[in-house]
Order: sequence, then C-alpha cells, then structure tokens
Amino acid sequence: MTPYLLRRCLLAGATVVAATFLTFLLLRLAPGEPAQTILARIFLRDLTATVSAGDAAALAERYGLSAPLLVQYGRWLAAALGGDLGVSIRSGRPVLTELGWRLPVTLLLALLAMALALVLTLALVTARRMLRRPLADRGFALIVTACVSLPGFVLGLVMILVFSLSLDWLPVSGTGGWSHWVLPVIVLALGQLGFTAVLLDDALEEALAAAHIVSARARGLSERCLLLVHALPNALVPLVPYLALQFAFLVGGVVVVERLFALPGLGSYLAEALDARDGPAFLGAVAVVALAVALANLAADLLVAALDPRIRLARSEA
Amino acid sequence: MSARRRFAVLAACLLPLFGGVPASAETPTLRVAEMWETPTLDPLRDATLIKEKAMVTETLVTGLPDFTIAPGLALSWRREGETLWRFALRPGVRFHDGSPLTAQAVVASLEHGLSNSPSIRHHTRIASVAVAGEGEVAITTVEPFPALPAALVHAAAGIVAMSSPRAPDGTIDRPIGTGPYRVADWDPAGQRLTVTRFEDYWGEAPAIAAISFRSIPDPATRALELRKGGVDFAADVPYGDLDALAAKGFTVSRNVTARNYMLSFGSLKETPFADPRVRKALSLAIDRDEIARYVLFGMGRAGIAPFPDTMAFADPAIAVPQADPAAARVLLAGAGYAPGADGVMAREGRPLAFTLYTYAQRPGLVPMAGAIQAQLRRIGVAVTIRVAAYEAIAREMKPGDARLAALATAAYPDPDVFLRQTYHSQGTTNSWGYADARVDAALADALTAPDEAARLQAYRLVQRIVADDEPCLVIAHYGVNVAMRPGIENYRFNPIAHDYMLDPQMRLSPAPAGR
Repeated sequence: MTPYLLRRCLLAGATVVAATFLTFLLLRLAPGEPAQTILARIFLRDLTATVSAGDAAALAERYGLSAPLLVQYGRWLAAALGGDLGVSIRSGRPVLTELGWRLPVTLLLALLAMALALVLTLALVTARRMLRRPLADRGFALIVTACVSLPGFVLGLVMILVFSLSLDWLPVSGTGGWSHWVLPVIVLALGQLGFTAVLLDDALEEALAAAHIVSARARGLSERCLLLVHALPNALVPLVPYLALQFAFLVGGVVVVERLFALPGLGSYLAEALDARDGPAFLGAVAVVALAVALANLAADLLVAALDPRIRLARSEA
Repeated sequence: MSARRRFAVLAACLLPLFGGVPASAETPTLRVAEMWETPTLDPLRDATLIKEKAMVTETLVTGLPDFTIAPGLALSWRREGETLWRFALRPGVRFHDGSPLTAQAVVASLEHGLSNSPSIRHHTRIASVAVAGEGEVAITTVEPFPALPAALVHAAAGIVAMSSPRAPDGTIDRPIGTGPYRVADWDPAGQRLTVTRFEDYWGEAPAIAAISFRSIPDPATRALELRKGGVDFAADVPYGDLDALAAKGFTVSRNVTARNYMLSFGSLKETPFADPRVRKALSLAIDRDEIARYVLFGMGRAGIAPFPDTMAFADPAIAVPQADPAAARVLLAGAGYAPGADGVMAREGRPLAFTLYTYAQRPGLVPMAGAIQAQLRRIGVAVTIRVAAYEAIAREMKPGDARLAALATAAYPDPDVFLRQTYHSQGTTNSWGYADARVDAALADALTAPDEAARLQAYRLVQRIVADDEPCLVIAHYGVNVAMRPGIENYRFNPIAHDYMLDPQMRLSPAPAGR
C-alpha cells in the first residue's frame, strides 16, 4: 500500500505542476501584451485605456514579465515549492495569505453541497426504487433533467426571487450567518444531483441484478431489505470516484455561485484574478484547486479500496 | 444527555462557524453595494474606491458634475511657465491622524504616486514636485500641459499621508487621507469596508455617520439585494431592472458619463471608409435614438459629437441628426455604389460589407452591434458581427473592418487628451489614419492658447470638424445608473467618477417599514 500511496502522491504533485504550467502558458498566450493589459486593467482600470510603451516596460521589469516564458515559470515554481506563491499584482499582498482567506469559504461551500447532493441522491434513488411506480419514474426523470439542464445562475436567481424576496426567509447574498449558506449550497448541490442520481440509479440497477441479490430474493428477503442492506452499499462503490471527479466540476460551479451570491471564495478570486490578468494570484489559485482535485481523487481511490476488497487485493498483487 | 440537548450543544458549537445570526437593528449607516471586489485599499491601485466612493482621500483640484474644476485641497493655482505650475494649499486641513496638510506632505504623497503608479504619470505628465514655500507646491510637467489642474482631479492623484499603515512591500494598507470619511474597519477576507465621519473635516460635516461597502460583483444580485433591503445604494444594476425598481418606489437615476459608444474603422486609406460620403451614409443609416431607447433601455444618450452636452467643454451647437436611410442611399449612390444581385450595395463588383468587432465586457455593446447590423442592412450594407476579447480585436481586425467599443472620453475634466489621441493625425489611438490639417492646427493652438476661453474655442472647433467629418462614428454617450432606497436625499451624480461617486452631503432617513 505504501508504494502505491507514494506513487499517487507523486502523481498528484505532477498534476499540480502540469495544471499550473498549462495555465501559465494559456495566460501568456491570451490576447494582449501582459504588461499593457495589467496596466490597463489594474492600474488604469479601463481595458480600453491606451498605455505608453515606457510605462509598460517599467511594469514588465517590476514583475519580471520580460524574461523568457520558461524562466518566468521556473522562478514561480521554485518559489512555490518553497511555499511562496508570490504577491498579487492587484493587492500587493502575498497570494498565500489571500488564498488562506478564500479557501475556507469555498471548501465549506463545496463540502456542504456535496453532502447535500449525496443525501438528496440517496433519497431520490431509493424513493424511486422503493415506490416502483411509473409516476415515480417520471418524477425521477423530470428532477434529473431539470437539475442537469438548469444553469446555476438561472436556478440561483429563481431561488433568490422565491426564498429571499417573495417568502422573505433567506438573505440574498454575502456572508454573516448560517442562513447565507442555504441558497448557495442548494444551488450547487442541485447542479450535482442530476448526475449523481443517474449514476447511482444505474449502479443500483446493476447491483439488483447480481446473482446474490436474486438468490436473496428467492430466499424471501423483503425488497426493502434487499435494496437498503444488500444492493445499495455495493452501488455506492462506483459513486465514490465519481464524487471525486465531480469535485473538479464543483469548482467550476463555485465560480458562478460565488459571484451570484457575492461569496468571497476561491471561485470569485479566480474569476477576478483572470479578469485583471493578475498572474501570481491566478496561478496560485489554480495550484490550490489542482491540488485539491488531485487530493480528492487520491482520497476517493483510498476509500474505494477500503470499500471494495477486490480492488485492495488487485493493488497488493500488483 | 438527551438527543435534544446533544443537538443543542452541537448547534451551539457549529454556529460560530457560520458567523451566527446577523443583527437586524437599523443603524445610521449607508450600506453600499460595491460593484467590484475590494482586494486593496491602496489609493494607487484602487483610487476610485478610496477617493470617489469612500471619500477617504481628496485631490488638490475638485471636478464638478458639469466637468468644470474647482479648488480642492489647493485653494488656487497659477501657471508660472510653459511647464511650471504653483499650487497654494488650503489652510487648516488635517489628515485623519491629526497631522496638518503641509506642502511637504503633498509633495511626499505625489512623489510616492509618481514612483509607484503608472496611472498618475500617465494622466498628469508630472516631471517633478517640490515645496515652493509655506503652503505652496511647485509642479513641473514633462511638456507644456495646460490641462494639469484638471488632471489633478483624477482619483489616483489623491493626497494620502505617508504615515499610512503599509504592507511589507510598501503597499498602503489603510490609507490616511483628508476626506470627510476615514477608514474605520476593513475586512479584506470578507470584502467589506466601513468608513466613518471624520469629525475634524475642513469642509461641511457629512450628514451620514458611516458608510459600509460590501462587494457584490453581479449586477442582478445588486438589484435583488437592493429590493430585499440588504443594501441602500447600488450602481450599475441591469438596465432591464430599472423600471421595475422605480415602480417599487426606489429612486433611480440614469446618467450620462464620460464614455462613448464608438464605431471606428480599420483604416481610412484605400478602403470604402476613405470616402466621407460612405462614412456619412453609414452614420445616417444608424438610428441612434432607437438604439438609446430600445437597446440601452435609456441608459445612454444618442450622440454624434465627441462629448455630450452635459460637459461644459462640449460644443452645444452640434445636433444629433435623425436617422435618414433615404439620404444615406443617395450618398452611397453618389459614391458610386449600386445594389448588387444579393441586395448588397457594391462598387466595381466589390460589395460594401465588413466585419464589426466588439467585446462583451460592457453590456450594451453586443446588442448594439446587432442593432447596427440590422439598421445598415436597410441601406444594403452587409455587416458580420464578431465578438472577441478586446485585446484580440486590434490583432484580428483588417483595414476594411470596424470596431464597436465603449471608450472613455475624459478620465478628468478636460477635453484635450481624448481629442488629441483620437483625432490628431499623430494621435495614439488614431490607428485608422485620420488626418485633417484644421484639427491638428486647432489642437496645436490649444496648447499655446493665452487663456482658457481661447483654449475652449480651439477644442470646440475640433469637435465641430470631427462631428461633420466623422472619421469614426459616435453612436451614443454611455449611461451609468444609480438606484437607491427611498429616504436617501441630497444625492447628486457626478459623472467625473470612474464608476459612481458618493456625495458627502447625502442624507439618510430610516428605511420605510415593510420593504
């Protein structure tokens, strides 16, 4: 197990390096000369502003933007490995400090949303299986389709209109109390629900068709017992790695949800840093996201191995 | 321990994580929905927040809503040479830390800005600053620059005490200024800023005791938060929400600001746009009123001149023509164009067709491009729209194409920069190659004009020439909206602001019950 863990940790590190390198390249390949863009967007606060070549050269010198691309990335990586993610051009503050502020908001949001999505998935799928009626099937299909097809910002706006303005139950945006988290978590969770419900439903279909379930049914076990005790635990195994993958998509959803609900998290930090072409801030945030996704996958793999003895065995034999 | 008690204990432990339930008591604080994130209070990086919105810093010269200037921290100024100016400071002004505003403090602040901000150098063209005596500052510009007093209105030139707390890299963390409000509380993690009234302010004391800013970047959320009562003041809410807000009793103001929606051509040489009749035909075919009313929801004003008549230096004689497709067709016929087989006007077999580039960051641009496309189709001009990143447009655009952009016309209250960079034959943004000897001469005259009246005449002449020649088409003047809850009085929009400016004389009464 230890060599496997070591291998996976190295792979996670390589993933982070690859993600940041690609991000760095894409940031540099984006239209516009970096120093001029930073001057216009951050210092002059007008993307159409004209800037002098002298000012652009001075800024490029100050932030090391005139060095060859590989040298620039190498400098950043060397500093990052030492725990220094650089200084945000927008604020002049260490990126690590700012990420330390933003990360807890996003982590809490993402974890609560994943937990809610999981609970709703279990409830939806087991309800469909236990009811076993055409109406339940149609209801399931409707909910799944709605969750998959409704964009987060539309769903969020509708929920604000209903629960914040019409019913006056919840605040519109920001942080400050537990009630501020309700709508963003629900919007983010519903965005996941459609996919996780379909996946679990398929896995449950397969688990219910397994020989030991047929045998248990022949021995007279109740359908409820078959579903909840024998089929569901097996069906959950393929869901775990999927949830880890969903974590990456969740970060995408977080960008939209954090902006809509004015939550100062990592998603809004990423979006603002990209818009301002604040390279150190954007690269630092991408590194943290890549690390989080890599670690989530690692945790999922370990969890799957713990849940499924066949995988554990295969790894130890390998 | 019973299950209920266990739950109560668990809830008590978890509540602090969520910050507890917020208090709902009414406070004498104006709550503003800020439209950007607020990662820094450094006046060199976010001058507009610190000077125009939070009113923490002030500038030597003040800009008034009609784009005239008035004394600020400087009571008076005079030009002592081609490049030398002397500013006399207002006596009795104190910084928020109690220290007096001295010539040394002003020089230190401006020098700090000049060494650390490209913005101040860019706008003011200051070469050096020096103490010129008791309460007087001498400023030398890098070239003759009659607009210096106006340039000092720019928020980045706000005066800040060098004793302001700094970050390790020298960035100002909590600016100490001379303005009517001082920084009281700043939570960069939570994107919240609170400023409170400065009791020793030199001017009239502000009526509102405190102003809090919360970053709400999404325009729709700002409108919803205003309706909910979570904030009292919001700018730049979705155009389509303004009527609904007004119908619910909110105060809504639509204002024209210093930015133009402009259609500029790739090149005026060896393209159809080289012919003034073609440019005029395109201009006449565009229904500016229709665009202002239906595309911008009234958030903007139809225009053809470089500046709207709300600016003191605009030429009031320039009228916006009514759209006239018939006259446009006549002009095209005069320029040798006739309808082709596909209905597109053509000359010598070459159709009058071009790609119109625009970008999505400003909400009105893409729908406006669609409207222009439809309006030009009526006179047989084929337009293809391409939405791209702003920085990519210059690279992709060909000489025979055009660009629709929202361009700032006055970062400070003076017409020189915009007219010079846009219409002078050597102008920095005049990439389309417009050259008119009358314009160049008038702009040269403005630099050496004996007085402000003569300078103004020169600029007005330029405006009349370019409004007639139309080397690039002004479509509309940009609009900025402000929405406030009832009970906010004395607010006056100042279009000099980059986004919006708060007014120290605003008054706030409690929100009506039931909102």
